[in-house]
Amino acid sequence: MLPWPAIAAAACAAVWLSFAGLSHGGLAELVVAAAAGAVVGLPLASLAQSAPERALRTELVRVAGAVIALACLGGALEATALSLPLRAGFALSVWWLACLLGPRPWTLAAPIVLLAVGAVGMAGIGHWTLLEVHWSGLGDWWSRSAALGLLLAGTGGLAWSRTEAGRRPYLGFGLGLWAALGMALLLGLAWEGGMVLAPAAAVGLGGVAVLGSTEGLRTRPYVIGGGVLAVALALGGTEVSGVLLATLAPVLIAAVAASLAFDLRGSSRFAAVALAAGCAAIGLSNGFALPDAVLPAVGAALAVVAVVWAVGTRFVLERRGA
Amino acid sequence: MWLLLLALASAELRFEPAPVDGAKTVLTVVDDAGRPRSGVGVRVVQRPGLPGERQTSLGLTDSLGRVEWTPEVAGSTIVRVGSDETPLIVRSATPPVTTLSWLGLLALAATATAAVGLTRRRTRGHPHRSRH
Repeated sequence: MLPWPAIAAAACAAVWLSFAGLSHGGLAELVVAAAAGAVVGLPLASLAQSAPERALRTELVRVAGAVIALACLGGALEATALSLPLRAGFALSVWWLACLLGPRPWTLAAPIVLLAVGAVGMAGIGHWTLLEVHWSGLGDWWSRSAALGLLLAGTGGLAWSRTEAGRRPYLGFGLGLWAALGMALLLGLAWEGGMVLAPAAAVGLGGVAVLGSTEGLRTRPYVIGGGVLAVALALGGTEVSGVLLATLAPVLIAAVAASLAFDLRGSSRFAAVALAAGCAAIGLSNGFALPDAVLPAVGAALAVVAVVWAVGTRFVLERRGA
Repeated sequence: MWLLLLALASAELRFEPAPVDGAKTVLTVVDDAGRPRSGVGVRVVQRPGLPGERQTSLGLTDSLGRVEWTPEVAGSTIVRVGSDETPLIVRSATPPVTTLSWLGLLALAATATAAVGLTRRRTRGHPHRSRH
């Protein structure tokens, strides 16, 4: 199985770096994303791989992966010079093509696109203005970067809960981080040299992510619903897809992580709850849209920890008593 | 010594030598016919739209259309002459060590993580240990 969710997350990185990122913290934004992915995303992915399989959770993860990929494509299309009808038509075409052909034809395209973005990104070496590391104003952008790290690591891990063969979340995170670095270099080149490779790379990543994320979404409601969502996100642009990716996706990952807690015991259950709280804090911090949203987000996340821990403990104790 | 010629929308800027951070350069403003433009105000905006953006007024050009400038930072810069704006790149005298270091660390982290992902997970014969 290929790292579709990581490709979607890399496309997400492309979208965010294109429009809002980098101009605040430069390469520091990717450093925060990598740290969040390593501290929260990858442990969560490892827990998900070791947890018992649940049909509802698997379905939730599949749908979430497709929605995230569509949101990435919608945001990436904003970078192009296409008009609104063309943008909507393009997104709908990619979605229908993906549904018709399934993920198999794209198993070769995905690594090629990832490698191409990384390789083309080398052209940006030497253009450092946009990438200069700045830690000032960290409070304004840390949660968005952390959400990106979660998507890079967490979505990959959750989607790979079925595979037992390898440490696939790590592979997805590594490849996604490489693609994000390539995109950052391309954007640095575009900023200084005016080359317009970055939008094409973003659309390429988003398109491949959508084509691969349709696995398991063969039923008609998903196909029709995905088509409508693709058009809506293409028309809505980065504002709509940004809310979806920065706020709803981390909260969705938190929900899946919290559901893991009930299948685990002891320190693993506590870790799942704590990681869920971390994901929720990142998503809520983005969603509050306040100048200092860290404290309320952490407070809300701690409330999640307390509730899930209390309910989970009671549930486990009752089960043991029975 | 060599002359750097930058084409502008409606004027031309000449730098001698090419702008490098920390080194003095002489900027000459000429019109479309190549004649020096004297008495025009020149401003520079370094790192426009980014953290650390700084605007500097270089003053008025002399009778030969010249004004001196010592760039304080490297990177993207906009030179404003009247209503004309010219983007240019100020080259760095030294490599951007911090940026290069973080880039190297991130590339190393990405490679190492992907390599770990290619290894097989260690399988245990008894996944659930029991003390009984």
